[in-house]
Amino acid sequence: MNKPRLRVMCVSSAGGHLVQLKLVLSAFNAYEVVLVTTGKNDPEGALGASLYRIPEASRWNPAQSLVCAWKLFWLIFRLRPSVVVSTGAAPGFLAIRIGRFLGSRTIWLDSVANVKSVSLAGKLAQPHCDLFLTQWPNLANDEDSHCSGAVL
Amino acid sequence: MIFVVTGTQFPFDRLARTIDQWCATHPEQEVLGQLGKHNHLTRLWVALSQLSRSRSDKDGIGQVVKGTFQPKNFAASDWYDPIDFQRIFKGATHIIAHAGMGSVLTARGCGIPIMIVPRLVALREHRSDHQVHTADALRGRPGIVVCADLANFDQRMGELLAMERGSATGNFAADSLLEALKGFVELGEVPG
Repeated sequence: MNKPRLRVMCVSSAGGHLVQLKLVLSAFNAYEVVLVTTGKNDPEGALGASLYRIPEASRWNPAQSLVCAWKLFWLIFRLRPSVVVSTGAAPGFLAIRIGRFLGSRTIWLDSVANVKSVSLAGKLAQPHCDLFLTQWPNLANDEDSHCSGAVL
Repeated sequence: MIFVVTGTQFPFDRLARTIDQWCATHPEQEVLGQLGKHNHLTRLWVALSQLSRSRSDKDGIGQVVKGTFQPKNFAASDWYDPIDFQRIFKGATHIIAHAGMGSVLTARGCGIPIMIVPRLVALREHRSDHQVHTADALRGRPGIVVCADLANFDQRMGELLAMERGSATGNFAADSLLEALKGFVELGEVPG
């Protein structure tokens, strides 16, 4: 009997975070991938994944962050992904929190831009992650923060 | 054509000015820029934080200076539609960018030589100095020129222009990283 296909939800802000998320999407080829991001008019599309738009969230814009959180809650509640993956930033943190709350397993892949310390969103997300990856070996401690390589 | 990309979140006037000066003495070079601008909300935040001077220096976005510089010697836009942006980017011979990973990874994926200039918190160009650290970590990698000090811009431009566009090089994500993600989703394995 075939196992039901796992659903993996990948969440990130537009820009560098999304570029990095797309570089690792092939890891989830065997699963149903749902891509959730904040950009518009992405010419590359979702590389075969179904695509959902959310508003950008940030510390500087609480009202919009609330809308973002609500949309993420509704998406995760409806789609019930087995795994929520994010490369950041604030919308990714929200997705990890909400995903954990609704029973998904959670993965954070910290941006390769963070060389000296983990990103703020990453630090906030870390306690709620089942797998926390940094892309720089010096930031890994092999307990709750791992490094398995980078996207460059 | 050299494409200048400084991200869409904040302007980067220091770099735009330097490139404008360079273009004045290199009229043979075709240069095009996407220089970014504040969105309305950021403008409002800047205005508010100028009113309240008690905010600390670390209090981010309000400290990013307003971009006002309009280059005279190269064509520039605040923002390109992503479809146009991608077409221009892929058609460029060289990229000059802030030290953001989107530009670096995209240039690398297309095999286009890139110069990166880190934004500095001290000059209110960003909310943290992570671009300085990123630039340091990327120094010496193939196809990347780091210009940490714009006093050396002309020299770094010489190094950049000496680099040829390579063939499109695709995805550099480490197999070990993909395996770690796959292993976790499939079996719940955590590396280490």
